[in-house]
Amino acid sequence: MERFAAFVAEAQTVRPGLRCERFEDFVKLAGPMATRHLRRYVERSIPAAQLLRAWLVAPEHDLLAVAGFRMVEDAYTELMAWAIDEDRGSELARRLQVRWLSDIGISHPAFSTLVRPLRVTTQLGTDDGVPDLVLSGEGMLVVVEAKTGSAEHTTPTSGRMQTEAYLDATRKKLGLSPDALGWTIFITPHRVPAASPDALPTTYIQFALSLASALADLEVSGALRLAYAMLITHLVDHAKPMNSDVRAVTTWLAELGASSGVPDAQILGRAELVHRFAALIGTPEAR
Amino acid sequence: MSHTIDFTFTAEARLYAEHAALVEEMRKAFRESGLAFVNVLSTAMAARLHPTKLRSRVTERWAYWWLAADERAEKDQFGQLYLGWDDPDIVRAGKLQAWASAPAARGEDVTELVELSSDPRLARWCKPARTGTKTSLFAIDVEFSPDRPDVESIAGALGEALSVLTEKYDRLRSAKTKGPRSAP
Repeated sequence: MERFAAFVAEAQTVRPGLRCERFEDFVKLAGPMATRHLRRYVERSIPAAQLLRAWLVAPEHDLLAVAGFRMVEDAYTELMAWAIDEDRGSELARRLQVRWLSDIGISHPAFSTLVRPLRVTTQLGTDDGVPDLVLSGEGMLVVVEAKTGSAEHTTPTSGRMQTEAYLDATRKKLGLSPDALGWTIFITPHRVPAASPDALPTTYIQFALSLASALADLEVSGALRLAYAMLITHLVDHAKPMNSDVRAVTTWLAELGASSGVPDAQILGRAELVHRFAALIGTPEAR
Repeated sequence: MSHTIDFTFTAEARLYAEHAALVEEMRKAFRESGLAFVNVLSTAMAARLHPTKLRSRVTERWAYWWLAADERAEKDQFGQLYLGWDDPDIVRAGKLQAWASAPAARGEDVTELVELSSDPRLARWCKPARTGTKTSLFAIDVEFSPDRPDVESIAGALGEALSVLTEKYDRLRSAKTKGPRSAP
C-alpha cells in the first residue's frame, strides 16, 4: 500500500492532474449565455415549424416518394415550377413568387409592385447551357440552378461556372438588355454556396416554408391544397441533408410553441438540431 | 484465444465531450458577434470613402474590401484589404490585423505596392514589410479597446489604407496602359 501511495505521488509530478479550473469557470459562465443564445434560435424557428407542420401529411401518403422521385433534380425543378406557375391562378402564383424571392433575400421594390406573376420556364436552352428554372417578366429575370446530388459545373461555351454564366446567357436568350435586373438562385438540400458570390444560396426546405407561409394567408381549394401539402411534405421529408430528420425537429419545435416554453435542460442537448433547422429554413444568422 | 483490448477515453476527451454542445454554442455566438462587427465596420468605411464605392465580401473566415465603381467587376482585379474576422484577438485583446493584397499585380508592381507600408499616411498602422507578396503586401495593425471598439477610428485606418493602396495600384496600371511616351 505504501508503495502504491508513493507511485501515485510520483505520477502526480509526471502528470499533475487536469488543469481545468479555467475550463470549469468557462462552463459555469457560459452555460446561461449559451442557453440564452440558443433560445433565440428556438424562438425564431417555432413559427416556421408551426407553418410547415400545418401542411405535413403522413409520410405514407407522399406519392412522390412512392413513385421514386426522392432527390430527382429534374423532377424537383418541375415541381417547383408547378407550385409557382400562373396555371395555378395568377394571384396565387404572384404571391407565392414574391414570398419565395423575398424570403431568399430578393427584395427589390419592383417585386412588390408586380401585378402579374413572372413567367416560369424550366430547362431553358441558351447558347451557354440550360438553366433549370427561369422566372421572367417586367424586364426582370431570376435564374434558378437546382442540385440534389451533383455539384455545380462549368458551362459548355464560356467555360464559366453555371451560377456565373446563366444570368448573362438567359438575358441574351430572352432578348433582355445586359443591364436588366437579374438574380441567380442556387438551390440545394444543404444550402451549398454557389461558385458565384453574387448568387443566392437556398434550400428546398426554405422553398417549402415559403409555400407554407404564403399559402397560410390564402384561400386554396381542397384538391389544390392537398397537392401543395404533398409537395411540402415530400420536400420536408426528402429534399434535405441525409442526416437531418426535419420532420422530427419541425414537430418538436411546433409542439414547444404550443407549450409554455422551452425547458433549459432540453435546449443545449438539441443545439445541433436547432441550428441545422435554422440554417435550412434560412434564419439570417444561421445562413 | 481472445484478447481484451484495454482502452479508455482520456479525461480531457470526456470533459470536452460532456460540454461540447456548450462550447459549440459559444463559438457560434462568438462568430455572430464577429460578423456583426465586420458589418458595422463595412458601413463606417463606406461612409468615409463615399462617393467612392466600397465593395465587400465575407466568407467563412475572411472579410474583403475593395473600391470599384462597377459592382460586377471581379474583386481580384483590384487592390484590396482582407481580415480574418474570426480571430479571437480582435475580441480578447482589441488587436486587429488586416492585410493589403493585389492578387492580379505583376512582379515589379508588387515591389512598389509593398513599399507603401512606408507611406507617411499609413505609417501609424503599418510596419515596413520585408517580404511582401501580392497576396500579403503589408499588414495594417490597429489596436482598440476590446470593451468598446472605436469603430470610426478602426474604419478610418482601414479606409485610409485601402484608398492609398487603390490610388497607387491604379496609377501603376494606368502607366502600363499608356506605355512609354515618345521623346519630344
